Amino acid sequence: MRSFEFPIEAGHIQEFKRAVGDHDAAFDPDVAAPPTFMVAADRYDPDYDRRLRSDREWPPVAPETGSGFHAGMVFEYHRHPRAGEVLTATVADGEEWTKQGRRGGDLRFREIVTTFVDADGEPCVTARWINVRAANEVRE
Amino acid sequence: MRPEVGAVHRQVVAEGLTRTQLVAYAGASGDFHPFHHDEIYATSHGFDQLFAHGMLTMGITGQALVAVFGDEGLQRYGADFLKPVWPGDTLTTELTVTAVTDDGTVEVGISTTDQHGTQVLRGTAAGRLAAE
Repeated sequence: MRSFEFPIEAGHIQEFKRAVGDHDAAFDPDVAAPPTFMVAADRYDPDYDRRLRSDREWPPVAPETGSGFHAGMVFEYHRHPRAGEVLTATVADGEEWTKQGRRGGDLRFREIVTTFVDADGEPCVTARWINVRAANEVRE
Repeated sequence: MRPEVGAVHRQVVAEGLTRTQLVAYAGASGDFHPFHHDEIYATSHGFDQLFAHGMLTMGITGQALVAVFGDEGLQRYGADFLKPVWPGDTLTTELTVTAVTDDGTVEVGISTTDQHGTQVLRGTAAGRLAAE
């Protein structure tokens, strides 16, 4: 489990909204974060490896060596954060399960749960990242 | 969208997705996995070309949800990424009301398809509809 702060910045929200298709999104200092914006907290995660890092090789591990694929995502909104807030994100392992794939082999699913709370410690958003990989690729 | 089971909201959420938008999303999200911007890397790992982040498809689909639920009406949004989305794809999202609870919460099924009719994202969401 690890925690880090996620400052919700108006300019970052504008950039994100433009990237997901609202190409003319204007700067709004009081804007609410769009539905999937919490995933952009990753840039503040000291352990995040989908970026250039001075302490790791690039590119990151490829799927055939066992890192798997992002299969799905779930957001639960207690409320929608707004620009100007600073949230605290806590990342923890979630549930794991196995399912038979269409090609016969077992698929191993794993959840990574990030809980975002506001400055008062009140829950804001819970995000569940679901990763999948072939069971025979899993290295314990 | 009417708060009635079976009501549908259909929206073209991306027309001819560009590599530039994938790069813009990498910058905005912080996810610089080379599958999504490095054609040589993607093809050397068995893909025909680079492809969109699943989270970009989910974010693009989110535009239809914002159109229906407003900026702060969503209570839950979940999605499975079924197929890769490629540069040039045009995506259409269809939201179908599956339930309306006594407290006014509206649940919808989500389907996003490409220009060939292939479903690339399937999901569910719940919330309160924005005032029309």
